Amino acid sequence: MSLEDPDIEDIRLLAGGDAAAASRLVLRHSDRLMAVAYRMTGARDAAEDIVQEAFIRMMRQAAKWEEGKALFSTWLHRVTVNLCYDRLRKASTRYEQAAGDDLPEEAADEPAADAMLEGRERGLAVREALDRLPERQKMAIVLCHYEDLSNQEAAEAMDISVEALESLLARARRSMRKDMKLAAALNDELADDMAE
Amino acid sequence: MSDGKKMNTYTDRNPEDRELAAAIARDRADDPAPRLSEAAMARIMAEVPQASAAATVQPGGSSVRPGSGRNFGLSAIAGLFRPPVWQAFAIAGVAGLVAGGILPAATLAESDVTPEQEFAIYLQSDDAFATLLEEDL
Repeated sequence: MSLEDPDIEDIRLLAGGDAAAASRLVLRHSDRLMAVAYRMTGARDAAEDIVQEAFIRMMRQAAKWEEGKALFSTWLHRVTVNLCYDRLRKASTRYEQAAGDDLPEEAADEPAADAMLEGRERGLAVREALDRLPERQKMAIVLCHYEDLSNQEAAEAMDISVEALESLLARARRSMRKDMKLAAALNDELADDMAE
Repeated sequence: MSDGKKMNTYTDRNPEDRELAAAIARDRADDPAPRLSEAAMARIMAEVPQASAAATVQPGGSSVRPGSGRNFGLSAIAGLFRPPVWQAFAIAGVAGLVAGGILPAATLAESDVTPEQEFAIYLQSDDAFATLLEEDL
């Protein structure tokens, strides 16, 4: 891993109280951290709380940051990952929109409704399968598949070895495939019952 | 994180996982993660001056923010031994000695109290009462 940290100049400036440097760091990293926190918690408010806390810790850490030990972005991801775990342990937050509850009744009459519904069900099946995973497996999927981090980067963010991450990913994929197949089979069964 | 080439190869080798990866990609596209709101951004930026104050007050030390409450006890005790504090204590102590001992003695020495007045003061004091009690016994 290259130890040339693209954030280092801004961290030095932030340590001296430079608000512009803080702003640049927040803008540079907030989208990715929000994405991780949102996928993990499923709620915007919870994700914002987590990201806010991560950046506040960044402010405190800047003055005593040891250059060359790790990339600042890796550290920031690790803080976010741990805050997500804390949050999930405190309260099992779920995606705000439960399956189908918020779909308007008249949608079925619209021409593209079937396609939309199918897409939504497919998305929900993925999300529900994701939500059913244990937190570390879920984090591995979120970092590698939703946020496109490499295995190396995800392992560093989770503070585990690459081998451990690959093991988590393999188990997570297996569980998700199984859950999604089950959900599809149940949907087919329901559709058959409705047709009869 | 780094912009280097993504090193995941597992899903490239497994058709079933390619399907799963595609489903996840669709889900990600259908439900993009929200961005940090302006309000949250403002709350974060409000922490900047406090962070710089912490960096100024405690260079190389713990990252405790002023008034944050963390490690307050230890900081307070350690603060007692910082030079300005013990110097103030020492000055206050010397001032107390001067006020409590030297000044009253000097005042008495220079006073114009007559022996009769001194005896009258003695009679009103607890010493005189104790002496009378002893004599009664």
